[in-house]
Amino acid sequence: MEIEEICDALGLEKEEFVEFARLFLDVAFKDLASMEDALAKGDMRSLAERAHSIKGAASTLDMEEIFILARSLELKAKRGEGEGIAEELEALRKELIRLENGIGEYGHEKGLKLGVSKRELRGGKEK
Amino acid sequence: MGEGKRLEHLEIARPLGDERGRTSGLEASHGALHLAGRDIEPHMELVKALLGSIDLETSLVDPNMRVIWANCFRPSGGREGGSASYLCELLECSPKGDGMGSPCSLCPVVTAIREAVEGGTQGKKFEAPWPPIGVPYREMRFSIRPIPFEKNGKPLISVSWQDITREKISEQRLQEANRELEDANKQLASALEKANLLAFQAEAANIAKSVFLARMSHEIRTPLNAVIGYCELLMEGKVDEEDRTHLKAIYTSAQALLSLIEDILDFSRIEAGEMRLDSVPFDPRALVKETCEMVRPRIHDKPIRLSYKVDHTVPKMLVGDPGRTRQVLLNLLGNACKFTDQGYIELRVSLKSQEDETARIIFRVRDSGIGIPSKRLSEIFEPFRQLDDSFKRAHGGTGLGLAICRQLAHLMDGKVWAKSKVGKGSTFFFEARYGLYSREREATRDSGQGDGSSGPTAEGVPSQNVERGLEILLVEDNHLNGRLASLMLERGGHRVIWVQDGWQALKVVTDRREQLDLVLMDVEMPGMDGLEVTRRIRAMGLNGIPIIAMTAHAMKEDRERCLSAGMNDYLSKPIRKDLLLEKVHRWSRRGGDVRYGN
Repeated sequence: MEIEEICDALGLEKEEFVEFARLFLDVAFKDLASMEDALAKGDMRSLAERAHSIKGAASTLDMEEIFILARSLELKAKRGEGEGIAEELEALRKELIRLENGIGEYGHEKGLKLGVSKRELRGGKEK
Repeated sequence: MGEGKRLEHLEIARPLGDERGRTSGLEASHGALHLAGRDIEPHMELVKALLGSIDLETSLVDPNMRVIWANCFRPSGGREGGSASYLCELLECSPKGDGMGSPCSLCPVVTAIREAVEGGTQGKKFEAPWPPIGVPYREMRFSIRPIPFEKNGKPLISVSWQDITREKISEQRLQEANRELEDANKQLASALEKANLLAFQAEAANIAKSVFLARMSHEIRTPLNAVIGYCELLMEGKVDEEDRTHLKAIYTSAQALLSLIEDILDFSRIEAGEMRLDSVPFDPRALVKETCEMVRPRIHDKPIRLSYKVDHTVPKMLVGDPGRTRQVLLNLLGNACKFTDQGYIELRVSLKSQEDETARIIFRVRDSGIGIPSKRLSEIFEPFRQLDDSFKRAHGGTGLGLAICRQLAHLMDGKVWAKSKVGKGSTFFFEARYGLYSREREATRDSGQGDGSSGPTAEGVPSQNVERGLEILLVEDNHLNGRLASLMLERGGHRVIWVQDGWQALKVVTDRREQLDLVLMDVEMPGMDGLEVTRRIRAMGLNGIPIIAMTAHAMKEDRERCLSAGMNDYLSKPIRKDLLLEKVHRWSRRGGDVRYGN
């Protein structure tokens, strides 16, 4: 992931981007759990909605591998194709963990100075 | 023998008639027809007069086919059928007898007369090929009826006939014509079916092509952007001179490839008729200035003076597609930069003609460059044409730029052309037709569908909204995207109300209709999607609030869907700060001048 480039496009400082990525991870892990639950129940509609949510955010943050997996999951769920979903969910989990580790390392190296607080990011406008 | 048979029939008929005392008329009893006859002789003058007055050839005959009287001539001459005349003679049929011979048993007239005499029918009408003996050469229509008179104790029958050969031939021809018409119709239907199938296949191919273009635009541009981005990063860092040269080569090639892809996409869209032009008010002076500033860096350090001039006769505001106008100008100016090493490049804008609602504008790009041989001037607007390969190697380019300019100019009801002298420079002309901006007209257009928002202020370019910051409703269900877009907008100086579903959006629009400057609407949302929310907002009569779609799809079809739902514009996802703020700024400049669906 090339942080500088995407930061420029989003108008964010790198530290802010990392914070957004963390916010993304928080939501994405919850979405992942919801998708696993939906797969167990055969609730493809919920699965597609959650995958769509991850896809949209991953696209904005330019997280290509996650975007591709989420897009594939959304498509399969919309088509009602159960085959391969479990494997893709597992691949998605690995990608999210990889991102989490990458961000951890980045934050550790840089010593984050947040231009936007976590509270602001997760603030009152969230449902 | 035959006579006896005939008498037998008469005897059956007459006593019945006599018993009932009828003097005229026919009566059907127990399925049989009975004649109540009386002698015709005293009435013959009347009969002759009556028969003589009708157009059909008619005769009165007795059961022996003997003609009592006829209104037609016999072939042998004479008008009246005397006692020696037989009906067959009048009908020009051998054997000219009393119908008793064996050939006559096949004659339909003989049969019908017998039936009439025997009382089995009230009469009979029929058509038959004639004559029945030998080779028929015409068609006849007969009407054979018993009449309530008799002569010499024998019942009388009226026989009328008409030669319908012509009628039949016409009918036959008509039928043939109908059959031909039916065949033609079938062929037409079949051709239509084939055409529909082809149209369907073409449509399917077109959709496939659109999808391909969309994929291509994403799948090729994304990695190319990565290549370009990495190159930029590497060049910013510490690299030795040789590597820098290599990086620069990669960078330049990638840029060229990106430009080629953009050109091919544009060209394909125009060729496929998928290019739709905007029709929005814009300031041509601002556009020209901005375009020249965009081109200026391309001059690098060459000793070239770049200037522009807009004649005072050019209207202050025009209505058209500023983006595509800029694209043509950038291309012409870009070429001028490419092919001019020193001297000048100037852009001049003038009014060619003006009518009630439109103006023809001519943009002229003049340079002191290398020039173009006159015989090649027309070729340079053809796709993939450049002067020659060495020229291409020296100056780069795809050979599509001018072809796209030409097509865009056509779309703008205009044209591009050039004049040039080798070694002296070139002048490229771009003529296009634009709408004239009229505040009154725009106000009228908005009234009746507006929400009370005012029309554009002086020059139609109010900027106070941007200066004070806009109140923007952001409808975005994705939390991260919503938060990020809010942050971008807030940092752009705007106030944001962010909601995550359609119902909340409708509530905010209803409550803050007077304060809201703009709505940014995610299209794909669970529950009520952005299109439906927009339709409802417009149905509420709130047409003055610009609504910009935010969609991951950027194909024309998606755009059309957004516009037809009542949105004013669209923004491709993923959202990027500059594009977002530019779009917001663009729509905020319109003040209340907001229309949709045109």
